[in-house]
Amino acid sequence: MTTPRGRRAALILAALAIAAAPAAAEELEGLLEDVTGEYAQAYLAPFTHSFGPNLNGGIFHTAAIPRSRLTIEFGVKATATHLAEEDQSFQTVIENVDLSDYDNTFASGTMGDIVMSGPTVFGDDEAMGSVAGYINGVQVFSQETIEGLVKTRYSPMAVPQASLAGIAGLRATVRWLPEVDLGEIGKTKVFGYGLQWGINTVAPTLPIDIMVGFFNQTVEVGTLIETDASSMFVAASKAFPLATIYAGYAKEDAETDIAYTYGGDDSAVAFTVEGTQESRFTVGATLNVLAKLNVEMGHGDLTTYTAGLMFGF
Amino acid sequence: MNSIRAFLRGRGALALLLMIPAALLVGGCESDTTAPQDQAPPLNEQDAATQAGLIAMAIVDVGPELVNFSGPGKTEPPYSRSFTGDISGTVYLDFRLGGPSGPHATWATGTWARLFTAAGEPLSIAVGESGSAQLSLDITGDINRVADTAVINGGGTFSSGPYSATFTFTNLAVAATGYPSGGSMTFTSGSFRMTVAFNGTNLATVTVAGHGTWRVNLDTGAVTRVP
Repeated sequence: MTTPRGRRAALILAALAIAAAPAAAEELEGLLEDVTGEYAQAYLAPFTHSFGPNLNGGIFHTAAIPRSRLTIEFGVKATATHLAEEDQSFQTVIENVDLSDYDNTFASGTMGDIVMSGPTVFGDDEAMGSVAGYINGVQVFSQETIEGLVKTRYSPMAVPQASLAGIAGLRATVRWLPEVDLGEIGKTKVFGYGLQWGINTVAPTLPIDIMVGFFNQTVEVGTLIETDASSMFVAASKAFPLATIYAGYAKEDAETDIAYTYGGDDSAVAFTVEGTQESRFTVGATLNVLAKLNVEMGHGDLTTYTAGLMFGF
Repeated sequence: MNSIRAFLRGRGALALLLMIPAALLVGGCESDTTAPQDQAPPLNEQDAATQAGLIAMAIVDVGPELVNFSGPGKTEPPYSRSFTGDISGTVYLDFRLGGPSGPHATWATGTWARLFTAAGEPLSIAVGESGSAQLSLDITGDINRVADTAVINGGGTFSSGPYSATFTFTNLAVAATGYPSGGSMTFTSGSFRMTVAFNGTNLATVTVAGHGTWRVNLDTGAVTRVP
């Protein structure tokens, strides 16, 4: 059942997610313009590696799919990857390089080591990072870089989701956000789709519900970020009077492209990061009272928490 | 009645179910680290000798303050001396008569002095256009007011970015001008332990235990291996 208040809450959550994205994206691009691609890759690592797992979270909240009774659900899924404490800072070392590539006060061919360190995108937003060069264990140059974007150990995301189920034991799910113009950065695009099939369609006597499915998503934040994420999963659930518990296993992958212009020499920077997480186990529970409120934890290389509020009939 | 029981059973089951993710949340499954956490490039013996050379060069500038310092008359410690230029920062001097337990003295009459940097406020040694190393000092010296010389003991710490080291001076003989005429500095950086021997010239000898000998130019800090 859907309530006006519930619909409003879901819309507000989605609106908040949309409203927060442009400001954060603009601020992030402003920061990245001050650093090279090598620095940006390390600085963004907690984001580029958690964005995929976030997208691949909360795709299902039950394995029960009606065989022939049409059901529609819509609402919001909010996910957050709980980052390791170490992910709030980084240190990356490049050994035996030409220091003139990093500081033009050095003659070409001056060899040394580069140490890039500082807060990550989710690190201290008041502390500056640095790029420093070393020759024979002594710092020979140091340049201040950028601060963290927001200090947190949770990499968050929220996205609207809708599904249609009840035809031959299938459930089709989509995620979509309207395009938001980010000015110079471009537009946001969020689109995902997937299909689930209930095995109970052919094995109705099973004591639990089981389904298999897949989901593909693409998220673009202007020209700055583009992420493709996909997941194939099997899940089981057991329904009780007020709640459903569920668990699943997924094979997943994600790829994030970052592109911006480095202000130091106006060069184009672009790199692709393959997500580290390739699989996850999920456990969760869904409260079935008027709306469906679910909480779940997914654990693979990263731990992701999801909360969802779905309405339907 | 049956419906109430069913409801309570449902609530019990619900509570149990919700406890599963809650317990996982509280118990915590830590995420792997995704941001690079590289170690600093490892030092070799040349690197360690270079670090020691930098400190040897710095003490040539700072050490003679024990005999050169002059300032307004003041009997309560400490005096302060600020450096600007390639070495910058502030050192403090405590002059006494006879030794560390002697009465406080002025800079003009003291025959023993302690020269030190404040905690968390090391001297900075400029390297190149924007590089630096940090030097904390806590040294003492017996001062010969007739000859304007001092014999320094004590030590301090060196740091430069991710690198750090410790050092101690043994009977380092300094004068109002010129290079230390004798004594040594033991410098420990990582697994390397070395001795810098001073001889009154602008060239001191760095002997890295088990690895050979280097020569440090006390004017520039440049270190070259002795064949």
